[in-house]
Amino acid sequence: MLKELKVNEEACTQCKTCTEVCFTNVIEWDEENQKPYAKYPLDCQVCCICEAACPEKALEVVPDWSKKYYPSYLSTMRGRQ
Amino acid sequence: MTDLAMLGTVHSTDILIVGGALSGLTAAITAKETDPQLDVLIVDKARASKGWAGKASRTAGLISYVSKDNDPEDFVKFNLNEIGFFLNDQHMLRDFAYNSRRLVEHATVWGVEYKRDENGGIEVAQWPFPFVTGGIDPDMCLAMSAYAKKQGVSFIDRIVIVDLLKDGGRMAGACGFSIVDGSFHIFNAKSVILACGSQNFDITPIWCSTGIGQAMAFRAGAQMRNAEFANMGDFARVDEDGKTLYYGMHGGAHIGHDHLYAKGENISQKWRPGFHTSYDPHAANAWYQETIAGNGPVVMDMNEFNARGGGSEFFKYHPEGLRRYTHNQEVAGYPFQNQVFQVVPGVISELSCIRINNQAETTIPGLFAVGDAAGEGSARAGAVPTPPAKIHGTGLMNALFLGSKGGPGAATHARAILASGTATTVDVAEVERIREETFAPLQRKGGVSGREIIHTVQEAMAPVDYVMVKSEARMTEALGWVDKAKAMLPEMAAEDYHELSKCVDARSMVIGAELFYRASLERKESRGFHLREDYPQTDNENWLKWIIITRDRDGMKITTEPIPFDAYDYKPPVG
Repeated sequence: MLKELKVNEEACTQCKTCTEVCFTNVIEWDEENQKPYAKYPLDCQVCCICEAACPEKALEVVPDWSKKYYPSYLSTMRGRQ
Repeated sequence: MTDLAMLGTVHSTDILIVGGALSGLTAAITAKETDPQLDVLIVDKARASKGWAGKASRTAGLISYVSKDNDPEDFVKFNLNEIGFFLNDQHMLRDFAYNSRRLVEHATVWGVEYKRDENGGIEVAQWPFPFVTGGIDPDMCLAMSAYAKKQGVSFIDRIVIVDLLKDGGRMAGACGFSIVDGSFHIFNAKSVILACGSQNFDITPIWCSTGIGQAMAFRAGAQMRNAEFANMGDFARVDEDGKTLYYGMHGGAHIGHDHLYAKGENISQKWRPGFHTSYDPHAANAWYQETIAGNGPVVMDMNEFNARGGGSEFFKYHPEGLRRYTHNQEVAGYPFQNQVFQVVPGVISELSCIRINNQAETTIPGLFAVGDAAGEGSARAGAVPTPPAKIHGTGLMNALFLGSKGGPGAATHARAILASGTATTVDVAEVERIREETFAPLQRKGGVSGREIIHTVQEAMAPVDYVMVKSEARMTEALGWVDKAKAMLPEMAAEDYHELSKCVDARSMVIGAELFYRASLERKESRGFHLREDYPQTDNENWLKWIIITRDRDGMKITTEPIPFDAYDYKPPVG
């Protein structure tokens, strides 16, 4: 569901709030580069709370609507389309 | 003999709450209001200690209730006749009708804020029936978490609970693991409250609850009720290339379900006349019937929707709700307003079938279930997914309502156990077995991932002609997918603790899907959200009954129970 979690590294103050707020535990902290990263992008619900909660507005959620949990035909009728 | 402490960290508490979003926090706070001396501990997969947990605070921030200007008895009658079709627990429905407003106002004590008018009253939009919708601060859990801590509630974050523990016939606690370091935790408790959401089968964004509460309660032997009504859904918008689909609050298709057109004809009015407060399977059926008749594609006309008041009715009192709603669609690249676009129905699901009584207690003494975990099982709303999917803003109200039942109920139970002087002990061998089973996927090489099994369950739970418009043949086919997923469970493998939690989800989804289809096959009529092509009529003569499912060794035992109308004020229409 998540194509990319864009991090404005100049704006990021490394407060790690984004790793706290995600209710599906998508975001973890990259110790080596000292910035957040989306470790489990498939679990992103695109609620964008990480964007909203970031005090510096340093994050941008780029969703990937083509990569759902399910293939698109599932949501219609089986065998008829 | 193995010592419990050798198996993991042992925690003791009077009340253990699994899940720390709106219903769990409500239960915790009301338990403390009932008896401040009791120890209350919330464990959560996310970070409930900081108010970041669950899907309650990811919604548009709408809360619906029976206002001071509404007649509670009218609300009860409306629910019985238009929503629940007399499968309601009328005691609980009346309790809700008379107390929802009090609860909304009481929550301000916990720091919850509402959009207010110039006189300080809560601003509401009145529905054309006795119910109003107001705006609640979507970040209500931040305030409530802080308030709960001030009252002495404890929290442990990032724990996945995997199974319940019993002492004979009553509840004794639960156990689970940390998704941070894999440490195993054993919780000894006098009362346990399941507040960990419904089963959404992870099909649509935001609605990603994985039903571990229903699965754990079922495995522990608790009764399930009304599982056949779990088919909540929405229309999904189809993009320009006809492939990419997305649902619900991200889709711009939400609540436009009365304005479906095929070949220029309003098929919503053809198949489902009148004004409807929300999507239901009859709206999906309109799409289904027209599509198989060759009249597709079906489009949704948002011009029509907005011309009739549309979205503004829902959001004019709550700018923040509207901001979040439209923001999600802007992110997706599809603005909300005034468009005509192709839609297909999709499944959200809302399996919440743990049977509870008026104190939110399950059929296992000491085990309680609140919020989305037990909406249908409470039977408060009857023949619909609960929180009643027919009305927007009922999810948050359901969390407050059932949470406020479970907290005092669990406190009373814990106090009684304390007063009796009876020790609550957990079976060490059982904990050892659960621990071994839980971590087994980490040891397997080359097995099946939890996600693959979840995907197989989704093959059974996403198609609209399995879930929304039901028939025996198609449901039997769907159960074939469930059986396939079940057969994969012994081969589950995980590489880390996060993926291990997906294995727990997968196991829960297999149980949830089977509960839904077993109950749906049993109910040979159509009623509320349960729509069967092969039994299209509502059959009051034979089906004013609840379908109850309990564990029977490794299978499911299905029984029916007549609705106790002798004890209720309102009787169903004759015939």
